Order: sequence, then structure tokens, then C-alpha cells
Amino acid sequence: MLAPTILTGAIVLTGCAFYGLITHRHMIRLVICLNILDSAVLLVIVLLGYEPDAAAPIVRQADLQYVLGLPHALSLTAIVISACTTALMLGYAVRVHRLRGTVYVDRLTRWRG
Amino acid sequence: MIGVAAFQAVTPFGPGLLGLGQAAIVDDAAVLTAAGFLVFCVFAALFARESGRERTRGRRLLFRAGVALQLLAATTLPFAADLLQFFILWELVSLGAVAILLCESGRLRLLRIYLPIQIAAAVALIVAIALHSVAADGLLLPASGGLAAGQPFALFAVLVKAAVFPLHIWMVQTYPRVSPASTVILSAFGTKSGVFAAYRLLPGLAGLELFGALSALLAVLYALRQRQLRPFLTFHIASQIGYMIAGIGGVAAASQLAGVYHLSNHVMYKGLLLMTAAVLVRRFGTEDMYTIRSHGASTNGPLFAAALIGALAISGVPPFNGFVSKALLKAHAGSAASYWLMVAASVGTAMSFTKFLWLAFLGGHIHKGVQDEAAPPLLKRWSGPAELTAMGALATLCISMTVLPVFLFPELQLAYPFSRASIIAGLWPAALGCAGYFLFYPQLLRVFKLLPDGRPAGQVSLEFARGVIRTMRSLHSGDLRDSIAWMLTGLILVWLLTLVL
Amino acid sequence: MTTSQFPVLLIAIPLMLVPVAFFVSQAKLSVRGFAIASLGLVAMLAYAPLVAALGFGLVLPLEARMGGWGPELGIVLMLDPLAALLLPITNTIIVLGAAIGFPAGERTPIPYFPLWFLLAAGSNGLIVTSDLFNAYVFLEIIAICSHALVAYRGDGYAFESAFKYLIAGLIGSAFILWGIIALFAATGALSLSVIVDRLPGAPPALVAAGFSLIVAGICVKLAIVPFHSWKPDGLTGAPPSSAGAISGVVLSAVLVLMLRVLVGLGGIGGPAQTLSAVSPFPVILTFLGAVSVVVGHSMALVQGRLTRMLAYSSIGHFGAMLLALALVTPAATAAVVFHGANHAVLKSGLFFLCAAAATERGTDRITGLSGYLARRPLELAACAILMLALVGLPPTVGFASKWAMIVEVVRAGGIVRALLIGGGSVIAVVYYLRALHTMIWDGAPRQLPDLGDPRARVTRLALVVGAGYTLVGFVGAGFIFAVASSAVSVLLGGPQ
Repeated sequence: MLAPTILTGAIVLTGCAFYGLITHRHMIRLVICLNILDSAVLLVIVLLGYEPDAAAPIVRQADLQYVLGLPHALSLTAIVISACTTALMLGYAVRVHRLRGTVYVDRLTRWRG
Repeated sequence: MIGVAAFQAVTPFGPGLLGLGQAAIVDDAAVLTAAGFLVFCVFAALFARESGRERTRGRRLLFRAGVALQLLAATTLPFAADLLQFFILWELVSLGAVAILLCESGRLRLLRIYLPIQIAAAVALIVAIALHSVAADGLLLPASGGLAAGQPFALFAVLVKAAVFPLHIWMVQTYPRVSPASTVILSAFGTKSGVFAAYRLLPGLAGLELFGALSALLAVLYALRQRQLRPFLTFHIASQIGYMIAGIGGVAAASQLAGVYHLSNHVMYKGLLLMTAAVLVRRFGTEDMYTIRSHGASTNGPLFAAALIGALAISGVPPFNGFVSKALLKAHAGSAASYWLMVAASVGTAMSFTKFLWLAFLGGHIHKGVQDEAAPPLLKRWSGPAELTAMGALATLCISMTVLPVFLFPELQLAYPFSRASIIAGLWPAALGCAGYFLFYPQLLRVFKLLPDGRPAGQVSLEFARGVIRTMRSLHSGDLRDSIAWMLTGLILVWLLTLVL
Repeated sequence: MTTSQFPVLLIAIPLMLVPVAFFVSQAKLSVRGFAIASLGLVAMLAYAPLVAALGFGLVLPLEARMGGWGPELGIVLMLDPLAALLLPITNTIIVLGAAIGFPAGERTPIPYFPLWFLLAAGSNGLIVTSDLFNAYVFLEIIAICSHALVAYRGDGYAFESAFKYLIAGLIGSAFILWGIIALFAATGALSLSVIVDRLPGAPPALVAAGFSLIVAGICVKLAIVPFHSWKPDGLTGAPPSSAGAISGVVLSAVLVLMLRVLVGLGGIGGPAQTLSAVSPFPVILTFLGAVSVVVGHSMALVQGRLTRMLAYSSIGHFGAMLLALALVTPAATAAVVFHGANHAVLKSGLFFLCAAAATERGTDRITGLSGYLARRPLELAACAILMLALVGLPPTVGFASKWAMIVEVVRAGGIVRALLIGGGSVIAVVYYLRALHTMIWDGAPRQLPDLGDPRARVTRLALVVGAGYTLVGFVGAGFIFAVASSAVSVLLGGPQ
């Protein structure tokens, strides 16, 4: 029951993120939408290792059933990357606001055509 | 066949007239066409009564005589089996049109275009008839299979008379320039007699199907760049005739009959659309859709309903008659190319009628690059009771004619055109065209404006390339959201292709 | 197959040098000589496998298992002929780009040289890794440092470019990550060598979804129409040296990833036959490639800025490569590898020339560069040779690779594709000749180059290197093509 719920949630989150990416023009909102997109992927990654009634993957006794640890490691990496890119995007947003005086992407059309 | 019997019993213009006697061909196609003409003419005459009051007495008589002559000739022509009689009736239809044109103010200019064209078609037809009579040793037309000889001449005559796309220019130069009520009458008989002649003389001619489908698409492209009401509708006549010719050019008998069925459907919905155009032109004193729109557009509810029904029917949206005949035409398409050409023409048709409704009735905003026109003073009244009755009757016919295939195509299941697949096949081109108008019309218009109209080919192709590149540049808007939307579109396309393949 | 930890060095050395370069630059020491020397050292390392394989009988691929774990659980780096062919090229471009783009005398808001070390680490890593999630991580490393390289000069328009590039790049990465996760869910593995074994038993719907997401993501990264709009926008605001590095290094590295996934895993149905025989991807790639060729070259035709024109022209080139790749014959794929390597050299060479010209004239508008080449015979010759090669005319290596592509495409029955590729070249002749004509004849030549500026000297060196490769490569085209063929056959899992 848990798995379909989370999967549906991830798909809904992805849809929300893409909807936001297309409709919003504020740079910070775009950053938030990309974060939502990342969260959706993270949910699915963690879900891949999940097994009902299994223990955390820290070996205590041999016969215990553990969840798969690899996706957890992957999701940690993805979280780190997501944090880095978010910081970079926010930095750009601040710079663009300072230098161009706007935070709306539809005003940033110096390069076009 | 029930229809044949009923029609023979009721109509005064049956095969007995003009000494057709035993030589008449009485089949479903003939009855369908003649009945369509007759019913339409009743309501078109009713519609023309109101505007006819403005004519002088002499002209009114001439007009009525012209209408009566056209009706008489056009309802008898389908039954003619003797080629000479066929030729005389064909000429009488033209003569009736000449009489109607004589009632107009710019008659000399109109006749200077109309007469030479009709005479050329008539000469070609008589040559074809002569060749056939030599080959077949007689003037009788076989009940099926068309002419035995002289097809190239007959083809030329038919294509000119029916105003199939590249030979449609005479129609565009005459029909929109007469008074609105005359356009309604003229649009029904002349070209449709030509189409019916194609059914009689050249059924299943090799290559005709593809040619018809192609001309349907090309005429739509020209229609899409029009902003004057009646030229716009006239280009759509040419396009719809392309569909009919495509059906008649099909090898299967059912395909040819579907072409004729589309003919009578078209008479109804195109008549309805031209009637709404006539009321709009009278009310606003202009043909220009943008000017009408800058008046705040039409707020007349019944008129909008009539235009909506006409537009849905011509766009092939269920449950209107245009949908059924287009579904039949597509179902019998002989090649994938002609099928997809017809689908593409449907998309264009839906797009241009979205524009029509959006500008003239809904008063929607105009795309960039077009200035609002200064609004001239409003002229006259809306439609009168007789006109409304006529439009209501035609709108009813647009719906009720959907049952005809049950009698025409006995081998088909009753529910056939309304199966889920064919409804989807009718709806998606219309939806695509409708969405395309709102998304891409300004860009597309640039491309349509480059369609050749007599300029040198090199210049046109250069301008075409420039227009394409300009469109591409305008799509690279520099707005981040647009590029994200394109990426998502690409992803969805990749997914769809993965699913389909 | 040889087991060796050598590939690790290609990633670890530049990665370790990142903080060193950062601290050196913060300490206001002269970072430039140190950085260039270190990048040069990395580049020499990158040449090593190719030289060793050709001259000393080293058997490729070199396989390095991280931490001793096998491909089931751990990360495996694989230095195969494909990597050995592309690594020297990308690392040379990095050294030259770093030297040319160095902002002399001006303070930059972003530390400059650490970014190039990071770019070296990321691109080397992406080229040698055979683990999908590892590839995603390297992709993000490349993305972050190349975004920063776009923005380092710090004016508002550069930040606009960087932001557009960043958002598009992240969406592309998200597509790729979704695809990798789908493949992981289908096969339970991330290592390419394991996935290829498990694909036949995997649920086909999940596999198809994974491949389509990865294809879409890679198309974003390679700027294939309609995923491309970041590229002209992102490169126009960038310093041309960074734009050269992105065109040369980043796109080559992503091309390697695409070849590994689509050809190596059999996503396009090649002789590996791991997917069903009828795969949808050849059709999809053909479609995307055809649109890219048309849009890329026709948009390049109407650009007023040199960088933007070069960016659109790249889109056309990658479209042509997709068209050839979609034919899934080994020879056509080898031609694609060959052309990809050439395109990296030629395009970054032109971008470096553009960097020098834009620094002198203060603009990269073609009209603003009029007469720039008039009194510079070396630059003029190099520029003409590079443009000839990009168009695909003899006697250049660009002719050799384009000819190979067209011949292989025709041999596989794709007449229409060959016409599209040729037509793209015809358009390219027009816009390159126009730019060349303006830069030679129009307007009066202004001041002569300031030979005291070290960047001008490096630019000349880069141009000599690029033009030299172009001419020598024409003579040795058969040899490079042989290396590319062996790369493809290793990729397909066959004998060398």
C-alpha cells in the first residue's frame, strides 16, 4: 500500500514542478520548482530500496532482513547535488537582481532569436 | 431505393421532365443530389426574399427567373443519361447563374470573368461528349463507369466548372462580389453540378483522389490567410470540393457515393454559413472579420448558434453531417497519402473556423501585428423572421442528415460513423486546429502569406525560406519558460513515439 | 582487458588540485603559472593511454574497480578506446581554454582556475565511468562548473546566460536521473556491464521508459531541437573561451555517455541486440536529428553574433551525428565518433579565435569584427582552415569525417539523411563564408595585436594546434577512423 502511494505522490510532485516551471516567471519560484522536482526523484529512489518490515541496513545479526542500502546512498548523493545546485541558482538570482534589476525571467530576454 | 420511389412520387422535377423518359438514370446519388438542391433552394429563396425587397421590380423578376432556372436544371441534371441533354442542363445551370449575376451592380466585370470560363468548360465538355459518342457509338451514358473516351477534356471541364483548387480563381473573383443573398444561391448549384458531372463522367479516374485531397489542403491554406468573410468562405468551398473530388476519384463505389453525400451535406452547411455571413455583412457594413471584431463582434444569439453549427459541421465535428461524410470519405480513402491530406485539411478547416467564430462572434483578442480597425457606424438590423426560419431549417438539416448513410450504404452498420474510433478520428484534427489557432496562428499566417499568387517562383521560395526562418526566430523568444515548455514537449514527443512504435 | 588504477588518476589529480588552486588564488599568489602547469600535467596523463596503446602494446580497456568492489555493487571505471581517443582532445581544450580565458588584471566574483580543474575532473570522470549513477554525479559536476564558467566575468548578461543554462541543464539532469532510476528499478544494477546482461529479463515497459527519459535528458545536454534553446542563449553571454570549452569538452563527454547508453546497452537496437529487435529509438533519433540539422543551420544563417552563430551551427552538427547514429551500423557509429572528436577540436578552436577577437574589439558581433583578420596571416589561415573543416571541405579532417558519415549513411540506405547532412553543409558554406568575408575585407583594420598580452600568444598557439590537427588529421584520417572503429567494436562488446 505504501509503495503505490509514494509513487503516486512522486508523480504528482513532478507534475506540480513542471507546471510551476512553465507558469511562473519569478526566478526564486523556478528554483523552488526544481527542488520539488528533485524531491520527487528522491522519494522514488528511497522507495526502490524499501521492503516491508525490514531493518535498517546496519548489520547486527545475520538472519535479519534488511532494506537495500544502495538507494539510500544514492539519495544522499542526490541531496548533496541538489543543495549545491540550489545554492548556485540562488546566487545567480541574487546577482541577476543586483545587476539587471529584475527577478522575472521574461524580462531576461537579451539573448533571443 | 425507398428514397428513389418517394422522390419520383413527390417531385415535379422528376426524370419525366424535359423528355428524359426512359433514358433517365435514377440512382441513390442522383436522388440525393436533386433532393439536396431542392430542399436547399426552398430555404435559400426564403432567405433571399427579405433582401430581395431592395431590388427594383425588373431585377427581382430576373433574379427569380435565374434561381428557378438553376433549380430546374440542377435538379434534373443528375438524372440525365443522354449526354446531349446532360450538356444542355449543364449550360442551363450556367445560364441561370448569368441571370443572377445580371441583377448585380458590377455585372459587366463579373460576367467578363464568369462567361469565358464557363464557355471554355462547355467547349471542353462538348469535345469530350463527341469523342465518347464516336467511341461508344451513341450519346447514352452508361449507368456506371463514366465516359468511354475523351476523359482529358471532360476532366478539364469538370475541374473548371467545379472550381477545384488551382482552377478555382474564377469562383473567388465572382462569388464574393455579388450581393450576399446571391452568394448563397450561387454557391449551391454551379460548382456542385460540376462535381456531380465528375461523378457521372469520371468516377474512379486514376489520380483524381490524391489530386482532390491535395487541393482540399491547399485551398484551406489559402483560406487561412483571408480576413474578408466571403472570400474566406469561398476558399472553403474550393477546399470542400477537393474532398468531394477525392471521394469521387476513389475506386470503390462506396467512396464515390460518399463524395456525393458530402456534396449534399456541403450544400446545407455552406449555405448556412453564407447566410450568417450575409447577415453579418449587412449588419456591420463590412466583410472584414477584424473590423467586425472591433465593433465588439456579433452579440446575436441565434446567429451565433447558426454559425456554430455550420462551423462544427464543416470542421467535421460529430454529431453533424460534415462529420459523417468526412468519416466515410476517410474510411474509403484509397491511399495513406490521401487520408492524411484529408486529415491535414480538416485541421486547417477547424483552425480557420475557430478564427471565424473567435473574431466575428466571440470578439476575442487579435494576434500581434494586426491593428484594430476604426469602427464604422453600424448599419442595419439583424436577421428577419424569414431569414431566421431558413437558417434554423438548414441547421436542423445539418444534424438530421446524419441519418442518411443508413439508407445510402445498406452494407454499413447503423452505428458505423459513430463508432468510438471514428469519433476520435473526427475530433482530434478539429481540436488540433482549434488549439493551433490560439498557439501558432501569427506564425502560420506569415507562412500562408507566402503562398504563390502569381509572383515568380524564385522570389516566392526565397520569401518562403525567409518566413520560415523568421518564424523560427520568433519561436526562440529568449523567455526561459518557453524553452522549458519546449523541453517538456520534446520529452512528451519522445514518450509518445516510444509508446507508438 | 587490463586492470589498473590509472583512470582514477585522471579524476583524482584535478579534483585534489581544486582546493589547492582555490587557496593559492585566495592567498593572492600568482596562480596562473601553477594552474596551467598542473592542467598540462593532467593533459599529459590523458595522452598516456592512447600513446601506450598505440606504441607500447597496452591492451585497452583498462578497468579500475573502486575500493575493490565488483560491478555488482561498486563503481567501475573503464578506459576503453573511445575514452582514450577523446581524453587527449578534451584535456588539451581545457588547458588552452583556461589559459585564454584568464581574466588578466580584473577581479572576478567567482574563483577562476578551480573551475577548470573541476571541469577536467568531471569530464574525465564522465568519459571513463561505466556506472550510471556515477555518470550522473559527474554530469552535475560538469554542469555546475560550466555554469560558473559562463558567469565568471560577472556582468548581468552573463548571469542571464548562466541562469538559463543552469535551469535547462538541471531539467536535463532530472530527466537523466529519472531514466537511470527506471533502469535501476528494472535491472537492480547501475553498472553498464551488469545492466547489459540483465536487460533481456527486465520488464520492457520500465526499460523503455528509462531509455526514453535518458534520451530526452541527453538531448537537453547535447542541445538537440527542441531541447536546445539553452545553448545559443547560454553561450552568447559567456566568455567565448568558456563557450569553446562547453562546446568542445562538455558536449564530447555527453556524447560519450550517449554512445555508452544507446550503443553499448543496445538502446538503439544495434548489434548488441539486448533490447527487442525493433527499437523505437532509431526513429526518434532520426526525427530529432533531422529537425536539428534544419533548425540549427538555418538559425545560424541569420545570426549577427559570432558566438551565437557557432552555437547554432553545433546544433546542426549534432543533428547530423544523430542522423548517422540512428542507422545503427557499426561503421556509421564509428564515423559519428570520428566526427564528434573533430567537432570538439574545430568548434573550440573557432571559439578561441572569437575570444581573442572579442577581447580586442569588445564585441562579438560579426560586423564589429570587420577587418579583424586582415593583418593577421596566422589567424586568417587558421580561421579559414577551421571553417573549411566545419563545412566539410578538403583538405581537412572535417571533410574526412563528414565524408565518412555520408558514405556510411548512403551505404546503409539513408539517401534522405545524406541529403540533409549535405544540405546542412551547403547552408554552412554560406554563413561561414559571409563571416570570413566580413572579418577579412570589410572595414579598415584597426590596431595590430598587442604581443605583450600572453593571452594573444596562447590563442595563436591554440589556433596552430587546431589547424595542425585539422591538416594532419586529413592525412591520417584512416588511422583515426580505425581507432574510432575499434572504440565502437569495444562498445558493442565484440573483439577489438
